[in-house]
Amino acid sequence: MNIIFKNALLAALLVMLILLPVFGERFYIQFVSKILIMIIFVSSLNLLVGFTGLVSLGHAAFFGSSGYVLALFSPIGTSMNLFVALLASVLCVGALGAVFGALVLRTKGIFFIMATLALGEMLFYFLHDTAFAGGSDGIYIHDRPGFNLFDWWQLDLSNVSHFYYLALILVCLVLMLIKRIMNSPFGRVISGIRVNEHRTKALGYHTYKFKLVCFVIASMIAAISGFLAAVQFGVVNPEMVGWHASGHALMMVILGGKGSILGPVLGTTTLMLVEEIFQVATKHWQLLTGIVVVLVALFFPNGLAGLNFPKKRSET
Amino acid sequence: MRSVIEARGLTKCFAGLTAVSDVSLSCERGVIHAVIGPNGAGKSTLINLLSGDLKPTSGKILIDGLDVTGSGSSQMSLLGVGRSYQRSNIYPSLTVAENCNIAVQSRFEISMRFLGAVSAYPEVEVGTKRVLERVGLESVVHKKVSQLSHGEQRQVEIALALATNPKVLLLDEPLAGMGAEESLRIVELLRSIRSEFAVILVEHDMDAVFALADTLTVMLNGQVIEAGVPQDIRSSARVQAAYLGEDFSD
Amino acid sequence: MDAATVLIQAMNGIQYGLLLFLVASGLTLIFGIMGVINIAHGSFYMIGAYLAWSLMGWVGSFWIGLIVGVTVALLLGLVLEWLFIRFLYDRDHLQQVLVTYGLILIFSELRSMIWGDDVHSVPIPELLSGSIQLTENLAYPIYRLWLSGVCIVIAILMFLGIQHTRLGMMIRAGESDREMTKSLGINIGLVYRFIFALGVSLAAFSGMISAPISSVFPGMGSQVLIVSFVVVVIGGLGSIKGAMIAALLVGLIDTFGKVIHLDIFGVNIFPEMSGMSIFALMALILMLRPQGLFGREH
Ligand SMILES: Nc1ncnc2c1ncn2[C@@H]1O[C@H](COP(=O)(O)OP(=O)(O)OP(=O)(O)O)[C@@H](O)[C@H]1O
Ligand SMILES: [Mg+2]
Repeated sequence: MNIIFKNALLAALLVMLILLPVFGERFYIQFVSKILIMIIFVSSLNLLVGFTGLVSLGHAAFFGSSGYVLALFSPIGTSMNLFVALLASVLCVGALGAVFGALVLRTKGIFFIMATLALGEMLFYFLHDTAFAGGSDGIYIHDRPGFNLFDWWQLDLSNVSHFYYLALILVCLVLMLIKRIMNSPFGRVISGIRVNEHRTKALGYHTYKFKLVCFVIASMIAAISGFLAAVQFGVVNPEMVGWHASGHALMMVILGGKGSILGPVLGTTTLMLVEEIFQVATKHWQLLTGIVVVLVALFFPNGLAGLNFPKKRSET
Repeated sequence: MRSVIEARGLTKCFAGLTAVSDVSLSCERGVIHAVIGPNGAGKSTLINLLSGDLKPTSGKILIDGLDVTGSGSSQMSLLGVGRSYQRSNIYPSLTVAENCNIAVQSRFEISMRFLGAVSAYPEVEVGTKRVLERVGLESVVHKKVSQLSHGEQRQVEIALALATNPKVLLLDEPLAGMGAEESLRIVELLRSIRSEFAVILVEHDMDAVFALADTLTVMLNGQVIEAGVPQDIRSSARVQAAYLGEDFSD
Repeated sequence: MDAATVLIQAMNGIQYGLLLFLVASGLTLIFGIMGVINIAHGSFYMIGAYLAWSLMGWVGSFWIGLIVGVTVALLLGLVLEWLFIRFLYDRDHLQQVLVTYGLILIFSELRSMIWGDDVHSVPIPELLSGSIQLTENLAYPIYRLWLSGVCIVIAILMFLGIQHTRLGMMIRAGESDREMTKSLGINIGLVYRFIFALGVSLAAFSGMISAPISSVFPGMGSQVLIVSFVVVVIGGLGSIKGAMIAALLVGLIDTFGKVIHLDIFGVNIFPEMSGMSIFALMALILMLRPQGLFGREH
């Protein structure tokens, strides 16, 4: 695809997204907000799967636990400062990511897949079986965090448009951040690890350290999306950390095309739209989703982004 | 002169097989030390031990007189040991320049920076350019490595070793699979840079070995059967026997 | 806890461990020989249990149901390999995970369409109902003993197969190698298909024989899959011995975790958090020996 054409397309898309709340119905604003949140989550997973070559099946642990941090710490009756609450969630989840990462990164390949899945499920059982986090019902967030600019302007996250714009801004920031990371000296090492970890080690890099930093960054970005999801739904429950949430995100990564910045945007939007259609069509929509996933993984392993560049298809 | 790298009684056992047995050797700056021996003699295993890719079962490795036994490959690299692999071990889906960038960048303490753009650190590009000129890959800088010829890929392999600015260069069959012209070029290259490194060279191409080596170690079944200067090796009966009558005396 | 309870719980733990071994060894088998990570493995366990439930209803006999069920699973495995799995041998783990994840979604939805979402129970077959009197006031259900016995027999057969065949050698090596398989001079396509089907029927068989002692419910596939992963990580890949020991360890810890009461600072740690105990063990192993108890360094 031509670069100018691509940029024009992106600009047009952005303008449409900015104008959506002006013209769109409430349902659509909320639905697009959901997609935006998911894009952040899938992008963070793509940082691991697509850019570093780490196939994690437990990434939802960070998505869900971020919501739990918000739910557990937000006081009842008053609304927390949005930025304080977001920062707290991101930092707590970053710490969790460091602990989980330090453990699972000691393994490789299929072991890594199993270990991430198992550690994620450990968190699931922890939240599900103990009373302090509301057990299987989860916790309601009664007072959403907000932001007050000199008593002059109030960001109210129960307002769908306000929430939508917050999500839109965060998506743009996250995508820019990931682009920057991949274009940095650190990103260079990360690509090296993905393509050939053995040689990268032999060139003097302590690859474990780099993977750990990347894992923590990915968990913190996932925390942003989990935070937004908790705010949007006003409730958190153990399913948010469960492995089906991780698997779902993994489907979007590969559907969009792993290892590109915009792949997650494409993959997430497509799958969520398709699932929405399936859900209207039948009660057993998961069957159709499953078939789509199998077919995509078998026949289009480079995803939708790969379709535009047939040359790239041979390379894995 | 003091040896830059030294192995003392290196031994490596795999399950049921001693691939390297009590091997000692040393190499100084400006010296090319060749290790030869028939297939399966344990040459690559020896290189892997010296580079930290494998941990020795027993024995010691010293760099500049310092005991560094047990260091992993990344530590060894930082200690100044650069290596090439017998089977190309490079980044096939990246370009030649990107391959070298990764290697060069390892010598600058910038690799943990994840917010600045790579363009803010031109020293890496400068280093890459220098290395690629040296090995003669300037014309394919922006080609993907997987699209290069086999010989060119071997050159990338050597470029990666040089790009980390090592004191010790471990080359495991650098000429394997190269055409005659490319071979000559690499021999020429090694000749021109020999003064800067301590080189340990594993090679089957005897013309190249005798053209380059200052000293030799001959291995058979994991053991050193002969060591010395080229004339002595040529005339050694044991070496001739090991190579099953291959003619060594020109 | 008195000695009698400990004994009963230990036997339950071992029996659970043996069952886990059957499921986990199927995973290892498929990965060890074909290099495929099959996360749909738990679905076959679930399908087995549901098959046991409905076959009991149709044919009325647990035993005939067992034979029919295993046959169905074998056929299912053959078809699945032909339809999907054979395309995965040269693909990377990500694609394998996704295809088999898609299969999970498909099977769980099919299960919902065919059998509904209710929890069921399967009666213990008449022949094995009743208990053995261990001491005066201590009895143990015969069915559980039989189940342990069956698992042990299968485990022994498996050990023998792995020790004495070249296919087994590959499993021990912990990695698949098509070249090596080719060197066996047999039609690998067919061997792979058969091995996959064998793994599927092993999982389904485990699900069927466990149905009478645990309920049959929709989430049972995921549950057993995750615990099997824990077993494989603890035991080390490619080691059937490791899988056996890890499975017993996990079985015992999980069982005892549910009955031990441990108060720390007045808070009852067990059994509320017993679900986590096996994961804690796995985390510990990852810390101390990331290649697993019996795995080679990878
Ligand atoms: N990782 C390993 N595990 C088990 N055995 C090994 C391993 N690596 C090498 N060997 C064995 O050690 C012996 C020496 O191998 P090595 O590769 O060092 O030989 P070499 O001298 O480099 O041979 P060539 O000239 O063919 O490259 C061989 O018998 C080989 O099979
Ligand atoms: Mg060799």
